[in-house]
Amino acid sequence: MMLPGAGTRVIIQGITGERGAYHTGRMIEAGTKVVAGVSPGSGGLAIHGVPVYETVSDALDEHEVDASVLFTPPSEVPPSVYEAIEDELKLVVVSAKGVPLRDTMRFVRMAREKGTSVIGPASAGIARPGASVLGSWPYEVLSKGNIAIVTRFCTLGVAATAALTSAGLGQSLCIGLGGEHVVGTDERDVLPVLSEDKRTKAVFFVIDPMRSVVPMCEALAELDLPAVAYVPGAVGATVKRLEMVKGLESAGALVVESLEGAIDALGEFGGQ
Amino acid sequence: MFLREDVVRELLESRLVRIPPGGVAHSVDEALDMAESAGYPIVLRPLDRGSKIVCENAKTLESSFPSTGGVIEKKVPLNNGVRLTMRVCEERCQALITIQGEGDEHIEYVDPLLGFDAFRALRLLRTVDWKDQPLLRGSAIIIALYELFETTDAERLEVDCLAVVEGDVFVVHTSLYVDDEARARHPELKDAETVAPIIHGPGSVGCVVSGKGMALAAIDALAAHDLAPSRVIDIGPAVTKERIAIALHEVADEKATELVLISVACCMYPCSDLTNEIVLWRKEHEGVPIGVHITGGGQDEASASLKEADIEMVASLGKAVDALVGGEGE
Repeated sequence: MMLPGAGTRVIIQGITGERGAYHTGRMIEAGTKVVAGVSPGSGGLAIHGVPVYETVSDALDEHEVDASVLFTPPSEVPPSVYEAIEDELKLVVVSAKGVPLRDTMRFVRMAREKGTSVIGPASAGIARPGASVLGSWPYEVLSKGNIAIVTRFCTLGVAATAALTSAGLGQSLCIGLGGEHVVGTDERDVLPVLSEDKRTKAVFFVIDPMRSVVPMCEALAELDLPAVAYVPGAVGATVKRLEMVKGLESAGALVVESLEGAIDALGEFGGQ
Repeated sequence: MFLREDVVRELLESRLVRIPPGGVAHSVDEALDMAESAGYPIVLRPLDRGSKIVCENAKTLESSFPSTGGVIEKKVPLNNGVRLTMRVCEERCQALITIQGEGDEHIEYVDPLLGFDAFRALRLLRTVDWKDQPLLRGSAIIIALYELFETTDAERLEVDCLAVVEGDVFVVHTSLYVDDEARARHPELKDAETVAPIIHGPGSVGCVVSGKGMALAAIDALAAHDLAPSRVIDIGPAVTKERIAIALHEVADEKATELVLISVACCMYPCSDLTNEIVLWRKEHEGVPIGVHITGGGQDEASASLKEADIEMVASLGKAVDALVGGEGE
């Protein structure tokens, strides 16, 4: 899986929609190198100075591209992802929530076969603080540092990042894997890459207690970095959550029950 | 969320899947009529997903019928029946079908790119104790159920029992779990109400949150201060001014609400869009202590606007609850 950096060249599929145009502007403000946009029927326009093309292939004829960020509506996500896969993009971020589950399963299977990493659906995206934001992760909550945040949550992931930043703990990467039942990339794909990321000194997981952490526990066993996991939902905890906590602890993660607890645990890793 | 029982029954019947006679009753009289026509004994399943009750006669049904309504079904013998589950396996990105007979269990993964077929439906039945049963009819039923699972885009389908009665296969009680957005995508589910979780708490704090994770975190943060929610309204990750305005009024209208906590992270739209609604609500509810935790795009502008109205916006949930507790004592 490719991690974005300052030089990552990005296209925006669905750039002419309300959300696409809004987030393109914000991604550029965050320092992201947005080289082109794609919107069928709108080729020739420019949004925030970014040229718009009819197809991904047209954009690739004119620009070097590493990744695509999709702001298309849920029903348009599958064809847009297939287009990006066909054109051999290595990283595709899907922000839309509500993509039909069976469609997601099909394009995720296809992406895995073709070697494309799909982040999402329902993902806040990937942010490399100080360098780039691929998706809707608000750059105001980011600060440069050494903690990688990995989460399936969208809003709680953003709130956790804001809490770290306000406590003076910077981040190396913020990865929103997406909140849907099936997502393109999970912890098994991400953790090996984080182990090799020079800036990352610790990993902070914000975990959805309703989901399986089996893949994550498998991946944690191979992680060379300290890991802290925040599992919300301590009040009225179910047996499933207790087993989840036990599994995470056995896999080597320090489990905390509040963001304040996480800040205490991550204190030594926050600097730049 | 689980689809309502009567909707599931209709979906099954439209696929020519045989289910025990009965229906959904909303009153005792309706239930008694339904049971009379289906014939006793019947199985009563409360609509709030409580435990099923077998009623041998009208007297038992009358005394057991829940106020929330229930499904009335003729009780069919479950001898040699098998249990069937279909779910999306998120780890493998495939569908997983599990069939369980007496002591035997067999699983079959289905690749979404290849689909499911009669051969594998037959194989599933052969692995459990279905030897002297109508094999082709059984496999046709499994294929119909898989088609239902696929076309409704369900996350999970559970059949309590595939039972053979007088040579035909009956599907006894099916639950269908779909994601929150499925109704918007599927015309056949459009008018189908669902059994959705509503979070009402025993406490005094009305909470407006954005997303499930924020809701869980808010409940935890309140508990750390010996507080509990009176109601939690999740306005979802796409936070808009309309949604927050409605939610604020709804939590404040809850009788038990004495304090209000807003814990919102904005990914899709700027936080500054929300401030007017919060200020307006504040003017109408001046005596209610409020803790505001808002983060995301445009948070500095939002903080400045709220400050003008004497509302402090804090950077963490813990601080918002602290503010709430401080406000309570004033």
